[in-house]
Amino acid sequence: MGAPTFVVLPRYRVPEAFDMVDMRDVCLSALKVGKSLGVDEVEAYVLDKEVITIRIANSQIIESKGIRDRGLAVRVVKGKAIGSAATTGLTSENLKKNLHDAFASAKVRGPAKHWTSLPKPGKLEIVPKLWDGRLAKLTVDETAKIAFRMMDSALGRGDKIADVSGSLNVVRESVSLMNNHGLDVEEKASYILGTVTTEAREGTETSSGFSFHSARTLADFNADQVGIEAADMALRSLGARSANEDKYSLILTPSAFGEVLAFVLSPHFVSKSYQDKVSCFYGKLGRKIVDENVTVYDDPRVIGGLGSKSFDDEGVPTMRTPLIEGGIFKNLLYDTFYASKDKVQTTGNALRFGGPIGRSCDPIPFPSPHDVSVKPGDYTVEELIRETKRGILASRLWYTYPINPERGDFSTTARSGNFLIEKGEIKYPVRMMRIYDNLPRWLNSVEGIGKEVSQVMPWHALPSITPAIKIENVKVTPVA
Amino acid sequence: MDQASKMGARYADIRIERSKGEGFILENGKVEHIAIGTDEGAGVRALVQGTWGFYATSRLTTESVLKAVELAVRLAKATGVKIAAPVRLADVRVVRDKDVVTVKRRIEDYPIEERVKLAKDCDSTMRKVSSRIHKAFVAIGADKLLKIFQSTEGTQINYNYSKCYIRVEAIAHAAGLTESVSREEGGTGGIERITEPNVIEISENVAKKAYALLKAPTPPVEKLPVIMDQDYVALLTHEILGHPSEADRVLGREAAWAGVAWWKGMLGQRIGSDLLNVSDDPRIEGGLGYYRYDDEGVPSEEKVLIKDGILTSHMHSRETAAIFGVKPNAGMRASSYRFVPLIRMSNTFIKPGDWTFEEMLKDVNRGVYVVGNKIPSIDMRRCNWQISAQWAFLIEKGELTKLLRDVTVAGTAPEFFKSIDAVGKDFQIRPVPSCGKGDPMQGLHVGNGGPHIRGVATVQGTRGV
Repeated sequence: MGAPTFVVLPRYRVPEAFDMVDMRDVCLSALKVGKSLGVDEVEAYVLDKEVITIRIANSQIIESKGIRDRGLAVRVVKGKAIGSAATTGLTSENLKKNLHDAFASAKVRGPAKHWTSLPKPGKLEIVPKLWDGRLAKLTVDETAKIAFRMMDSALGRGDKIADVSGSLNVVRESVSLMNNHGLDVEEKASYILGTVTTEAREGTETSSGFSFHSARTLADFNADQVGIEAADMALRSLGARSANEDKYSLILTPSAFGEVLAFVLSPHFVSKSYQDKVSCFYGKLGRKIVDENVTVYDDPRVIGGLGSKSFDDEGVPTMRTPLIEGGIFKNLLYDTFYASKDKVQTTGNALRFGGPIGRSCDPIPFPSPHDVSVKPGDYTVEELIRETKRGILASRLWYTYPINPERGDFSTTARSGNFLIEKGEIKYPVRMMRIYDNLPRWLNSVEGIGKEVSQVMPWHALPSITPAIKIENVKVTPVA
Repeated sequence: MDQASKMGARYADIRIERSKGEGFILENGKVEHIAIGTDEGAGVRALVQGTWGFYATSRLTTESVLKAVELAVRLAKATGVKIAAPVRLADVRVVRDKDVVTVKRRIEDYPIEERVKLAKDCDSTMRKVSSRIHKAFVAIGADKLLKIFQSTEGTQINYNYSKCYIRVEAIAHAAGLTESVSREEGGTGGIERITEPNVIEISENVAKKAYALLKAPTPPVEKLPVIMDQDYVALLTHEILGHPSEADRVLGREAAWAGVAWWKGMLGQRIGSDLLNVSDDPRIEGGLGYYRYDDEGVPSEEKVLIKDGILTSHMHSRETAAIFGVKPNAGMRASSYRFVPLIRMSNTFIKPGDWTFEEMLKDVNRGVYVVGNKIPSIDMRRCNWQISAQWAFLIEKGELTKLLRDVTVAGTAPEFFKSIDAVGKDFQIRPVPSCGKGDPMQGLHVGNGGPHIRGVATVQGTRGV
């Protein structure tokens, strides 16, 4: 089977230039230099990205900072030997040096026998609302005002809010990507991310609260809500007791389950993990692996999604890819390199993830989900709680890591917003707990799925869109 | 810097960098990915109206750098209007110096082709051990960095750094069981950091151990005397002693993501046995956390964090040193010009004692010896911890008896540190290639370690459920 081919070559023109550097010219020059080196294939990827971050700690702004990052990443292929290089020095001299570095690295690498080709031009359907002119033009002063609103809305919930911390990130980026097969795409993206962590205090008692909100447009971002939610979680969590070490029904809010999706579930559906046999679902493609009420997609085409983009980081049009459908393992996530190993087509999942969100100028893309999306169920969170005899509601997980990935074992700490549930009612807040469990067991023990989804994203990790979820018989151990 | 002062900055500094990195991953004898990266740019920090502004640019033109200065000042001014506690900086002496890493053999004298050959030798050594080694990974990286630091106070330091590191990993599989063992070597310096350790022998041992684990039993669930090797101690020190020593974390400034410090307000109090001595020392040549001047231009020194079990000091920036009323101790680093410096570990370790490993072992009637580290699970105060080991041995009547797989050890910081009754003399600094902090997150290489130590903790298996 050959390389993926698509029908039309569209050129998505950026409506307004974000950068003073002409990114297309850089790409064209890189292709020209590549051709002069006599390579078979060449790809040029230019990224221009600005991140403005306002950090809050001790209930005041402690840092206001920005990064303007421009870079070129190239891949060259000669006789199926693939080399790559990246540089931030966008002079013509550096550009030539970068191509030479990539070519030299290809020679060292040697041929990848499975390699087919860099992507051919495809039919590109633009995902709307990836770029917001208002967000793009947001000034430093206006950005600071939003951060102050996040903080002040938390402090405004009462004197018991003793400490507010968090951050506001505004990200604007523009990418241009070409290869010698005629692929030629450009896209701009904007993001706004706000997170607040609060500490409430009453006498010697303390508790913590957390909230995260994000949007692709300024109009869709609610700064007040971030602070209010975090403050209210901390206030509700005052007077916490230790939970007994035991098994409970565990209800995870979207924020909490997002940690599991990013750090535990996602890697098992990446083609590289599967090829290395370190996926706990290895050998089960096409088979039922979890409860039939579990359906999970990778969805980079949701309007407003943090992972939404029209094409992946090697220019392949993105698509909605089912990972689990009705409990059945449907697909792996591929870029062209790993797809060629399995002689299949890429799923458009080549990523060069850049913190805090968006793209980077990494020289090599890697297959990853864009935005893992869990199909909602029928329950409100209140109904999930009402139908729980003895359980725990957990709102923020932390230090979530796979331990034995080939088995799906993982550990995590429930950090904030934990509440004991008895006979369908929240009884009292509980302190931090450690959970040590197994992913296939969890997804085979799903008792209910919420009907409302949220966009969530853990610290320096991939985003997901998920409802709350209820898992049966989860052993928790108090840690404080 | 003149421009920053003209625009109203009470203090400003700039880091200008140019770097090159070469890295590859070899899998089962074939180079899977290879890349060469060059990077350049400048990061400007300005203290205006009592607060910090920072802006970085990857364009090293006068125009772009002056624009970065302007934006750093504007960012500070935009948020400085409501500052309740203006930033004060502890005084430091003005320095004009250079900081050059000692290199025995330059990276360019051992070209990437040679490094690939070394990796292939490691790979074939691992796969020769058994047909049950179904995957062998070798990754080698080599980085060079030129940096200039300059401040409005007149400090200027020119840095010339290089570092090399290697990771080998063997994955063994049989009858539904998969076991992996890995090891890192490397540090600041030249190519000797990966050629002087016997990486072929290390690769063989890694593969032999992964294969042996396929037949090993899981551990008992029991509170027992535990002897920890230097690699396990490295991660325990990193998570439970190093991170809580960062003064910004003690002050609650990392509460949003990375958590707080379990010993906040406990300076001068006992937090471990008399045998527990902990320091952070950037001056250790070869450690991945080596530097002579931090990213505020402060000369580095040993920070004595815990002395004879008593919490004595924290790692500081000039700002936190002023808050605590102490001398700055050179704790500030940024992972590149792109980021504002934060208080970070350099080489953080438990100091050696006078026990031999054999003496430690002899005293244990029933216990466990844990080797290497895998995954930490930590509460947000970094007090309660659970860290899995690469493998372990059961200790019975003073002897290592059975190899154990899938072992984790759990404890609570003060209880465990007070239980330490033996500290070895076999001190090592181990490379820790990925430490994350900040928002946006900054990944950084650090060194952590110590000698073998012995204490009491809960041993259990790592299988979920």
